Amino acid sequence: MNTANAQMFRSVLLIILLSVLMINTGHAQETPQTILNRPPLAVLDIQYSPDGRYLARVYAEGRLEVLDTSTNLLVLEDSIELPNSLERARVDWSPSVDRLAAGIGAQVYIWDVANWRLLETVQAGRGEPLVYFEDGSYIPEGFVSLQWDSTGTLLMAQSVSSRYTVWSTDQQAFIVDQVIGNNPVPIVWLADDRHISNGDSVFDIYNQTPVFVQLSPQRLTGVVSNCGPYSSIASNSDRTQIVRATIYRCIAIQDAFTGDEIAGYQITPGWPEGISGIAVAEYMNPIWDVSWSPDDRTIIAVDSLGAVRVVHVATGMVTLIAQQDGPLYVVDWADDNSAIAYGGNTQAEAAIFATVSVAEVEQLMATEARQPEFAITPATDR
Amino acid sequence: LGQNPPWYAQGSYSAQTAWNTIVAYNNTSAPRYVDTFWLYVAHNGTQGYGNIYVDNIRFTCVPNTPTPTPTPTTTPTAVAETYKIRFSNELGQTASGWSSGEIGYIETGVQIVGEAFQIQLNAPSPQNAFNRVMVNGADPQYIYFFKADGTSSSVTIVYPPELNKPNFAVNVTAGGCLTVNNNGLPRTIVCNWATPAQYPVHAIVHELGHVFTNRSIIANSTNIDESTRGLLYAAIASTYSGICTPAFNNANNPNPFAEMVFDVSRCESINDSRGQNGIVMGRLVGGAWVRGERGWGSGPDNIFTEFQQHPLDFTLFLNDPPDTVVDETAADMFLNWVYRRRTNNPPTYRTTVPGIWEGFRNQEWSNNGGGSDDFNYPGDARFEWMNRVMNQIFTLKGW
Repeated sequence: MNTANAQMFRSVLLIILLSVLMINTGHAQETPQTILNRPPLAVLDIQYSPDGRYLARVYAEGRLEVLDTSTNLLVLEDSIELPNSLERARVDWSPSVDRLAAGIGAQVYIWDVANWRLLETVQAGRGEPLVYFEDGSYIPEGFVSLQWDSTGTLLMAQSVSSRYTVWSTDQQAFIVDQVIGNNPVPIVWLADDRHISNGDSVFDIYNQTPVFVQLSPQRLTGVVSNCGPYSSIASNSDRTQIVRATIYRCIAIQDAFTGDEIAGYQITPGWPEGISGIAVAEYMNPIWDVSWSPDDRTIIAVDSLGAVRVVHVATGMVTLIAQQDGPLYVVDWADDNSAIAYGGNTQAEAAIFATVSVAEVEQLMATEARQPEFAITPATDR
Repeated sequence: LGQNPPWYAQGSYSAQTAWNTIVAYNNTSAPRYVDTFWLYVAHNGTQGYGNIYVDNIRFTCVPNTPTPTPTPTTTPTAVAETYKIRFSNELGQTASGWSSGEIGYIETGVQIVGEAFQIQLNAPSPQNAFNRVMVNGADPQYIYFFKADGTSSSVTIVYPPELNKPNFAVNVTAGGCLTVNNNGLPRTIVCNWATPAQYPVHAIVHELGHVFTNRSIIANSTNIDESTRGLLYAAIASTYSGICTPAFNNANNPNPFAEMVFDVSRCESINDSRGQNGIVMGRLVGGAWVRGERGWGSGPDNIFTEFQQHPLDFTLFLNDPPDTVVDETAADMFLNWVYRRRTNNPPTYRTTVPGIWEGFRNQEWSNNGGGSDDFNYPGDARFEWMNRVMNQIFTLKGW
């Protein structure tokens, strides 16, 4: 850990300690429904600004913070009052770093980075604070996906309640606003700034009928048989490839436009040997977030058991970078290739936020890399 | 009929009984099954098995439309000898006495299952189809229906003396039924009825779903669900774990789920017309498994209704362990498939909302006993998925 990072780490520890003292006891109130959410101090999303100057993070309790990465000082702190702590929240910087969007609760807040002034608030979620799911649970309204297009004029948001919107900052209006389904599978922009993809189907924002067009991708049998449903998605630097991660610790790299699977890796065994059938569900461990390195050669992943691992895209070699005591929900690889940052919460429900320098990551990769559980490509898949 | 081609009749016949069940056929082009009728034929002289002079006897045709409150129309003995089912009180268990009305419910349930199987197999009769799938090869060669009196949930099943089987203690909620598929004992359906359940015929079909699940075991499978619980259980378990069992893996050649109308549905999930975004049953992106509240033939899922005999959110079932949840969902999926298969043949998808058939319907039942139209076709999605699953089961079992 270099000096800057060590200083940042100390700052973070202080913030965590202060935050623990500020836990809102209101959450202990009896609730009539089964509400699925994260502890208030859980870090739900982290994004470095494309120029590496800032780091934005959002907590389940609705707090947004922006750090100046050179000083580790907060340049923005804002809290949204929410009836429940969140399960999902998202932040994203515009490509030119003039705006920061934060999807918290049912609203997307757009900040002017030049003076940290709130420019506008867009209601991109739905009205009810809790979203009902057919397993009988409720999840607080929030955002599963939030991403600017490459021009920084269109902001795509996907809410827990399955509302899909594209907000045009030029027109000050939604050019897409639809509720689609009951299962908000994460989505990303494609390189043409016209299509949005979940990896299996694409949505043309200028031709919204039909809404999502199913692709017929070449799937890798090993991924189909061993990996389970997808839990997170990220696009590479030019948005021509996407990586999707699954609930049984796999990542699959796909051509963004065709959906064809280019490679699939199971990072660690999905379940112990000798286990089959319904019992494998006990070993579910979703990879909650993935992020590409700026050179697209490495992918970093965090999972619900607190592991931070990097995967070499060409070979599938896996390196454990850190192991935390609690689930991790978010990871981001800085565009300036200086560091990675990840977040979640400890078993004791304190915040987890940490950064690791890329130099340290590379050193670990050089000495600690291991073969994945399996590595398959179209040529080797059987 | 025999005197007026192309119609002909075929069915099981017993000279010792006064009533027989016969199915009508039409062989205009190639001999084929036309429809299922109950032909209650008053015996008036024959020339032997399979050679009945039908024009010499009286008969009544009853279309196979479902009857919500069925009235027994045949004697227990006649049906028991046709369908391989036996009642406790006819096998010496006088203390376990089914009433004639209860026997009627059971016979109707068995008949309904037989008709669905007959369509699935293109079999000569529902009895033939039922016995092939549910009984043949078993020891003993029948499903045993045991009646408890509904006074206590502790029930002791007593088997016919000639089987030389020990009594078997089970816990059956008063008013409910339970299926015993223990190895070494006859497949048994026990109903703990002081008075019959609210939807007795549907309850029987649900229990027969458990028998079917057990009959669908592939003993030499490497997958524990397929080898110990059965293929239907394994299919539902695939949606539960998100990992396909070998029989239903999309990577199989041929893929059991290839080229479906609901083309996103796979072994891991049932999706409606909205694709990935529309989960009917399976894992949500957050990881939770949903049995789903849409597409059933009735609801909602916190009370007993005809087509959700083990509703997941019913108070008594809230703490069901995962294997029970999967097993009971399998039985309810079977129940809905059986009814829809009988009333929507050949299957149609994405044509009607909510649909005029029984079983799976395109309706949303969340907190809504009346149901509301669901134009994402969740009932059709469930039905198509189940058709693929049942096709694969029937193929792999060689029925």
